Amino acid sequence: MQNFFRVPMRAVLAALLVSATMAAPAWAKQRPGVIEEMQPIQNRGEDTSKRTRFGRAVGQNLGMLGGLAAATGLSNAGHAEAGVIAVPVAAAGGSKVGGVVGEKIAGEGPATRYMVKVRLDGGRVLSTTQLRENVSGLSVGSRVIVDGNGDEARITAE
Amino acid sequence: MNALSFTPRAMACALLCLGLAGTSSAEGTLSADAKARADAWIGRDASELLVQLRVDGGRLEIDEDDTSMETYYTSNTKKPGWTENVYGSVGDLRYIDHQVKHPPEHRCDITYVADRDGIIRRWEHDGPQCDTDIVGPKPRR
Repeated sequence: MQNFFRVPMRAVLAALLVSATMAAPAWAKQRPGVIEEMQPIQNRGEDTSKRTRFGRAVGQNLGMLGGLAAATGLSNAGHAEAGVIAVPVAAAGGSKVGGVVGEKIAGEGPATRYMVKVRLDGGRVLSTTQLRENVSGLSVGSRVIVDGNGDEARITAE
Repeated sequence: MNALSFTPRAMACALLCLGLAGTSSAEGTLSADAKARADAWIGRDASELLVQLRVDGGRLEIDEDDTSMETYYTSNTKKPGWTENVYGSVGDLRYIDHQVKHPPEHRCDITYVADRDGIIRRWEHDGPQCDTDIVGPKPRR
């Protein structure tokens, strides 16, 4: 009786395992190909490089300190109420201005994204964007694996 | 996660295919100038779209149709939601009295369809601001 139940359960598990193995490529689509073209994207919009983000953060902190110092000065000069109201406004304003100045000083830095055009072995040509760190070491002619599809595709060296 | 995000995309892609099968009916609502700007992409390599249009912040979606071997590059120019600060004042000092949240605004989605070789063959658009938001390619050097 016990064996009777064991066999079908094993069969079910085996069937599930086989179907899962067969279904896997449909979701985790990995396609080999060759890079035909690769270009840094200069039209970066809101994308920011690490260098710019660092500059902005430093600027924001310095700006906030400057704003607080100004508000405290106002308070110490005998305008206690004005000082209380001005502190959060001055800190926020100083942080904003400092962030902009920090960004300017740090500069744009290298492009954050690249356009990568891949001719897949299956024949299709796919152009996609990849973050800079994902394409380091790759160049035109590199053999790659395209993992996933559409704008979720990740490109790695074969 | 992938399985969940794939399904609506696949459906959107299928709907798009059906819509494109009869050539874009919404094209008639575009100005001749905007239509010319979109038409100027036809025959160009899809990689040019990625270099010339904004791709940050999810502004460009790429979908692949494994049956037709076409790739759909959809650029959207939605205006993100934003918060407006309404200021009050005490004497000469201004302070934030309250905030008004403005929802995101759908402006224009334009889909360029590239063939198996990555060459743009047709396009489709949707949205109230496509007349102004469709951008043509830069002239070839």
